[in-house]
Amino acid sequence: MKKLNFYKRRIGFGIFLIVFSILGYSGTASIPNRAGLEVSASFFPRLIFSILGFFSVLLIFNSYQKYKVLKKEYNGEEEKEEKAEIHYNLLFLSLLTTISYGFLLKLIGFVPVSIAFMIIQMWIMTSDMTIKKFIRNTVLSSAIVFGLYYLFTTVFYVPLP
Amino acid sequence: MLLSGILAVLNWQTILLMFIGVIVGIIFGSIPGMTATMAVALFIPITFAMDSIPGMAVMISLYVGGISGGLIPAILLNMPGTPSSIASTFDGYPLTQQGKAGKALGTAVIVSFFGGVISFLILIFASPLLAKIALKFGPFEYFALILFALTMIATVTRGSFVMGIISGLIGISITFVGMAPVDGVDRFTFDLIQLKQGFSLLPVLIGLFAVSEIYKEAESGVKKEFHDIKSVKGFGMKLHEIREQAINIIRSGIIGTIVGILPGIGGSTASILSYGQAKKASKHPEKFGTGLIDGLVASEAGNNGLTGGALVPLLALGIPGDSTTAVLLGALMIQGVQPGPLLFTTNPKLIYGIFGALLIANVIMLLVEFFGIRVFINILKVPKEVLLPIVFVTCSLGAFAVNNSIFSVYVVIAFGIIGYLLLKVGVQLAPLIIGFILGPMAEANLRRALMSSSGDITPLFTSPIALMFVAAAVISVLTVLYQQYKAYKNGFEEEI
Repeated sequence: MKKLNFYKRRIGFGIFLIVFSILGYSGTASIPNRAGLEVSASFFPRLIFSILGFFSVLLIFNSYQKYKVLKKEYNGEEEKEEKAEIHYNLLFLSLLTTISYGFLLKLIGFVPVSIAFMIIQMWIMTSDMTIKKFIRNTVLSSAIVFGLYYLFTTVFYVPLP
Repeated sequence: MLLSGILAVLNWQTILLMFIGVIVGIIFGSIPGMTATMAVALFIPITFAMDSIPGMAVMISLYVGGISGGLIPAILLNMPGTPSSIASTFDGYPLTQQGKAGKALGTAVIVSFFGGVISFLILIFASPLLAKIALKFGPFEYFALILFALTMIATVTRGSFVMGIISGLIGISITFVGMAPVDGVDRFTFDLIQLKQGFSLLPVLIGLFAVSEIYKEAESGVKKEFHDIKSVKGFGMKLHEIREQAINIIRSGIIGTIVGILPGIGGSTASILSYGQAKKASKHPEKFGTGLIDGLVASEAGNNGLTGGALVPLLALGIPGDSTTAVLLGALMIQGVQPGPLLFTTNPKLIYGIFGALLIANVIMLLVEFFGIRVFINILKVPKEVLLPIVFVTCSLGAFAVNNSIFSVYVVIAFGIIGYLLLKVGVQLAPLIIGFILGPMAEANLRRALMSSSGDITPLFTSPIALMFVAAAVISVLTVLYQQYKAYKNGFEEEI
């Protein structure tokens, strides 16, 4: 059984989708229509954004119905349970490392950034890190990254950053 | 003729090269970020010095290995190795979660083999005829087929029908970024050069399925999953189970072959259509997506059925059936072979050599993966905190290698974040990918169709082939709506 917060998020998502549909539909006004074409490049996007808008309204309506029912049974425990289930710090760190990987890849290069990323990400995701595991992860990361680098640059002739 | 074709391939040098080709293909197919197309493209230079039949045999082996290799991460890690393995994640991964990874892998390998054999049989008996049928497909017929395939969104959606449709529509709307099909007009590019090409399938796929998994695991604190890895006995699928699944296998193999015959549709559509039909035909459609073996059987038989089907337009018409056969076409031309209807009469030995190579490649694939299952399954022993960062780097590398562009890496990460956020609100990613793959095809064909008929939509209903698919699409949606209504009336918890 889904929780109250889930349907709250769904209602918010539905509102976001309505805004997305409106923006998308209005964005099609700037799409030029090449002369002589019965069906312009804006036809299909308008159709899809219209249908998406309709279903978004349906989603909000259905989610709100569920939300009303669940609210009567709400006892306040759900939020505490949800907070305990989610490790926000690990999530934030993972987001930070993956986004940084993307930006540093071209600046610093594939090999150092990938090794650093793998070591750091493995560290973030390991709850019981020890020196032995750290050394293992470092060796493994280096071996894999160098192996991939050799494979792509020397065997496949794909230049890497 | 068929026998002479098979004999042309049956020498130890060619068989050895085919073995290597299948293994390399499986490796490429099993790593998210790499594809069968890449494997074939990268190994074309090796065939320069070979005769045409052994050269094509190696290419076919890479193709067959690549398509079937995608099942390994799809089943074990919930990450499709290739786009054609998307539907294998629906029931394959739940089976792994139930401790049945060995059985899932074994079943997938066997039905992949059968799917390949079915397409081989259709290929040898009916390729010129099937090529003629493929020629009857105009834009209205293609649009109707893709419309039918889009209704699979309704079929593969578990739980909320509305959310499934929304997911598919989001997938379609993502494809509006870039140049419009048909006239090449820029849409939603915000004057950024990188967005002119739109978003490629591979970075989007691995972002949504693989990278979002990293965020999901981090959020949950990377719980240690103790997979009860039961030792795999035999092929993992018993004879009576094969018998029970026979109709499913045959139907899915035929669907895969037919989809393969139609140029440009692709393996993901084949497996999704097969899955959808298997679910509709099942006595327990509500169990699909929870680890039902029927779903996995349909997906894998369908996507391997494609391999033979895609060779039909390639050999009979010189038109590639999918991206990999487009590369195979290049390989054929390098060998000095001009595919087309005349090839069947001017060089039948080559044609039947290719058919023979397809059969032998499937046999090799079965043997390699049969012994390989016991190795592959050990992936589950690798802790997720070690595996996921490796997968991320490999995926990013694969995405980069597609276009040699760092932008693809940004796309992987961005769609990883989007995928994670969508999962938080209960949006299923499978319908999204279906919409993403089929949306542009639907739009291109609809626009071409309406342009050719000067805006008149009636050929969609007067063409027998188009009408058949439109009717099938309508029936498909009505069936799902009726099932949902029945479930609601019976008081099942409705997750809207």
